[in-house]
Amino acid sequence: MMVLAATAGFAQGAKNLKFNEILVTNTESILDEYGCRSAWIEFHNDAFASANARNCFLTTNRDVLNEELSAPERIKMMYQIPSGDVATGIHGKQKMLFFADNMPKRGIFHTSFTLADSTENWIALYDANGTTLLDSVTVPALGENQSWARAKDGVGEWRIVTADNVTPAATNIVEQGEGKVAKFKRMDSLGLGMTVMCMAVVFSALAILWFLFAAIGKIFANTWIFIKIGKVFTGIISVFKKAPAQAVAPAPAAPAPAANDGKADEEMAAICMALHEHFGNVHDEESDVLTIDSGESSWHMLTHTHSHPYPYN
Amino acid sequence: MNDFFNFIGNNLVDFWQYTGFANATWGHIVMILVGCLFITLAIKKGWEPLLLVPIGFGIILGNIPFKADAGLEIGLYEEGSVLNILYQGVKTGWYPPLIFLGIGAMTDFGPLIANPKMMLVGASAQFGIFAAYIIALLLGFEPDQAAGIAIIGGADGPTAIFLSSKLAPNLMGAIAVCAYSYMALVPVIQRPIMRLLTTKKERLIRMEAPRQVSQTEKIMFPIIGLLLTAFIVPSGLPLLGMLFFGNLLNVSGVTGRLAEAAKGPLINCVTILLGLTVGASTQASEFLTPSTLKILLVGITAFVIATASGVLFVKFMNLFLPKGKKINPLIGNAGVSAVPMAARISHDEGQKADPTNYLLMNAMGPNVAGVIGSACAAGVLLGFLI
Repeated sequence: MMVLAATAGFAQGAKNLKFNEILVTNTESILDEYGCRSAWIEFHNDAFASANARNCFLTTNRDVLNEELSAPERIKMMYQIPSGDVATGIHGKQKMLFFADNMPKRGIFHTSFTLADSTENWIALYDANGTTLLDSVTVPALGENQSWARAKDGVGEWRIVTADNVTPAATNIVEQGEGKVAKFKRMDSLGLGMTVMCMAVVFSALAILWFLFAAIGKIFANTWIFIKIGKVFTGIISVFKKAPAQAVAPAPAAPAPAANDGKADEEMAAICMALHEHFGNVHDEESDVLTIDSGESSWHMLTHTHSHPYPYN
Repeated sequence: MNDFFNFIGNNLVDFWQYTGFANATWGHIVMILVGCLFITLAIKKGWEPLLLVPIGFGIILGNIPFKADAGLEIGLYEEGSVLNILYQGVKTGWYPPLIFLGIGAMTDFGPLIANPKMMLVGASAQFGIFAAYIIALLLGFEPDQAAGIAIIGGADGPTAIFLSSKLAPNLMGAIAVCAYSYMALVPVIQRPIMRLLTTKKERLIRMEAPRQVSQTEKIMFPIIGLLLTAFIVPSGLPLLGMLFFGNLLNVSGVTGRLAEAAKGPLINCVTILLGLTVGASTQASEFLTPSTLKILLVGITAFVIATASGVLFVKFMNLFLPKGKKINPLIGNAGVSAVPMAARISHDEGQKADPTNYLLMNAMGPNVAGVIGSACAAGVLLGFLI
């Protein structure tokens, strides 16, 4: 129950939300829906599953770090992302942008605080309970239109990005190199490299399976050796176990061999064999037709290897 | 009164504009005839009827002409239409793994476990895929498209759909139809190559019947098989995972109901949906292009090379095997993953040479190895190109 309660404390997948890029002084970067420029904060959903930022809190007030504060006291110092709007959902590996313009009535993506120009800013994201810190970042003093961004979305080191390279609501990695397909086209236009590599991988995978099952097959084919060794050990142990008992009180006289004539052992052996075959499933279904040459019977027909005569490929 | 007749007349003209007759093109007629041909081959000749009937009917269904700009939401490519919703399983590639679940539940890996060196025969036949890749590149396809086309050489319909949906979605209809058509033609394609590449003496080689395999070995195979192949080729996980999972359901001895569901109702339902929607995806405007002809050409070459490489590899193996342990090269063709069709052909050809020679059980080994091999090959291509 405690685990469930703790889990329920997180907004849906919000623990995967990470600060990804922050721009403080916006004079040339992106415009909001009102045509205004203001500081912006970008989140990245680091998971492949969707997340929802509803009811989470954003703040720049370091007082919330005081652990003695109650949840309601903390909440008063923070901007709560409203619920009831599907726009707060973020698909896996996608971005979400908030404008820090102190204009919360302009929409859910406008916070109730601003970021201070030319000085350090601390920004934190709290979960819906107002006490669990999901992520925080200290943004150093930045120049106009410069951003503080991770080198790799969600996880990379932070660095200053020049005005020409800021990427609001987009990935921070701007790759301009050729893709895999183009590289293969240029480097391996005849496909020989691909053929050699792929055949090597396929052969290796199946060859390892071959070695492994050849070894396993040998072990199973020689199971009788292990059974025999096991029996020898069991015999030795039973001899040692019986010895002290005999010392204390002599065992009752063994029944005369003529009494069972070895039949009990045979019955036991037959029962054991039957059970072994039953549980080991060593028999396939057989046709009930006896043949002289085991390699040439109708037992080898397809119907015995496939339960359905279905062309499945 | 005149106005009334004008009104009726205009409505009838409008109605005519919506009919198939007004919108039919030669392309539609050709494709409908192709669909009819598939159905005929399936019913009259018995060539893969469980696949060719749904595909053939799907081709007819997808090529019924209608006014495309009327917003009727009936076309396969129109978002929200019934066919479009059913097609998502092909487009996003989740039908093929479900088919593989059923295949796994139906397949007995016993012959392969009993004679694991047959894995190599299954691997060798995958050369057809990569030879087809080279040919497709030479014909001017991009590497990702070439890989999507080349997988036809694996003779494995679900794998072809899975890979082409990722690497060459615009060619998927042609690739799927080509793969299934050639699979139906496996007996026609493989027999002459097998006869050409083997001598009478080789065709008479007798092989020992595979040993009995215990249930423990059968249970270990899907688990070890999955761990090993998926660690090497994780990109093939959807196919390999479902294949081995289905097999585990079958051999575990305690999940009989689940295995029955996988190899019965589930695979039947998915086969119906897959066949129908793949067929319907071959709309004349998309299908009747020079690319399709090239794909058909590459596809048949891939089948020929896959068969030949399997047979030749067995002959190569025989150079190193002692007398009495030699493998009949007729089972080399079964390295392609057309299960169990290819193994049946090995058996039939063996019986033609010697009616008392039963190769079926031995041919099942490379045949099921081919299923694993083609799934691995698809995973490797996906890993390299996506």
